[in-house]
Amino acid sequence: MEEEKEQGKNLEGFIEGLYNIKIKPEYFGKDSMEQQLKEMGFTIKIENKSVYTYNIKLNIPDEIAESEKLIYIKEKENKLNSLVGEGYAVYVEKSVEMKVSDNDKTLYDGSNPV
Amino acid sequence: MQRKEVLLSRILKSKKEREPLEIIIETENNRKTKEKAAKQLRKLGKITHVFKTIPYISIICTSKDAEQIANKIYRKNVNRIFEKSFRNTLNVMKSVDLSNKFSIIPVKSNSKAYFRPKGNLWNLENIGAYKAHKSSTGSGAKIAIIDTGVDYTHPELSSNFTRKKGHDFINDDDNPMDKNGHGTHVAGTTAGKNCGVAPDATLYAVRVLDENGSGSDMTVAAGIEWAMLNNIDIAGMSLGGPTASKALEDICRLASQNNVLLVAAAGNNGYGPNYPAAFGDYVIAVAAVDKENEHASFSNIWETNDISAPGVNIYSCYPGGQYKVFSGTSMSQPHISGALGLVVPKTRNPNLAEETMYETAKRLESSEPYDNNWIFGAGLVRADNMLNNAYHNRKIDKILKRKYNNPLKKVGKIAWKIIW
Repeated sequence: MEEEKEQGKNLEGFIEGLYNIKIKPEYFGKDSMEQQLKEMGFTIKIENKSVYTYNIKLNIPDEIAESEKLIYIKEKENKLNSLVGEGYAVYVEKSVEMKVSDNDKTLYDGSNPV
Repeated sequence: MQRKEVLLSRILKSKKEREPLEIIIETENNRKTKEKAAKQLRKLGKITHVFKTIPYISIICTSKDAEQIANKIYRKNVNRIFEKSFRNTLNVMKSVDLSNKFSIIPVKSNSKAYFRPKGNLWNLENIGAYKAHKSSTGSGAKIAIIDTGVDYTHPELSSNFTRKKGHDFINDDDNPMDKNGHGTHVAGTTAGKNCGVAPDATLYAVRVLDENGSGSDMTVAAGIEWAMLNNIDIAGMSLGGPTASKALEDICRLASQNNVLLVAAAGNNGYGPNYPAAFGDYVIAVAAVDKENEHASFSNIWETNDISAPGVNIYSCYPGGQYKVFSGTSMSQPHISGALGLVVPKTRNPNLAEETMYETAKRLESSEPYDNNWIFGAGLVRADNMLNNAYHNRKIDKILKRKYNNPLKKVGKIAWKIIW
């Protein structure tokens, strides 16, 4: 079951605990907005000013037990999504993993033409 | 030391006085001394690199000047005026060496004498890069390698970089050194002196993937934003993920609207989308073919594929002055960035360069049960044909502009006359 879940996550390619939130231009970069995200338990990792988007990481406190983590994450995601409803944000999405697109690596010593 | 001295003087004497030569000068290992020496040496030629951790400075200067430096270091007679100008600098120098003493070929812009092991570099032959180099070597093009960073000290690449190397979005600093190897390989195919498509293009390393070759959509987005804000012509991305992200699409749209040509790998899963390549309207998606121009089995078949380039067993740079052979659509992507880098400085119109690329591609066919456009896009890129057509298209573009300048204004005048 755990393995299946892991596979599913890989197929979707999302990064656990990392989100993109596009803020309405009038609120982007404002201290109050950043403070609000901080109070909700998120740390701003990257600011993309051109498209008014923050890349934010959810901090899970150590005292949250392993069995309660999923509920905690869901609760924080709901809070984050509420910023869209309240008119501060345009959208919230999970951040996607990016990887190099090489298929095969072979050491070449330079002695023979390929 | 004596043997080195004899070898160096023999090589220097065989060169014409004004012929440029890249030499490596050993100085005292002190940052301030190195900086002072570099400042003085700038009067002589182009400093290609001041090494931070080792006591070396590389410089391209005439062979006459190189000989004067060598003579001073090895205590021979030196031209007095030369010695007077560089007295303080010459005193802190310890030895001088040719940067490329094995092939003894100077690193020189627009040189047709680059060392080209054609047996290894079938990929450049297949896309007509050597023929294209007669018209353009990419000088004037600014290409960003959005990847794992680049080993900008690699002898193939060091002269492609200016003082501003790029940016590292993993550590958030200005030292985008490659700790994986992937980005250096990609940079080598894009603009390596021997193994690159556009050997005289200016490169910028934008590190968005870590030492394991992994990052997030937003580190990539940050890299694209950096390219846009730094007026980069072409941004190559040999990376991707199977899931679309709105934030990544937003920045791709914006960069494309701001005339940055975004080029990305089509992916290596055999079938399906790979983002950002699959953001069809804003990104050029590159599929891979092998030496025989057959579809590479790993290359994603998808409706957004735009163009194909070699991506199987590609020989290119690897950190630490090494070379390696990699395969993947990651390796196809830099062929397109490089080919566009040859044309963009000639047209100064990215859209025209892109259109020309599709018009002149060599159509390919496959027996696989898919539409050829889904497998190859427009076909195999041909850098030589791109340049020929770009000249032709630019001429037409100019004539049209001259002849029909402000056509709406003219139509407006006619309309005004009729109404009144």
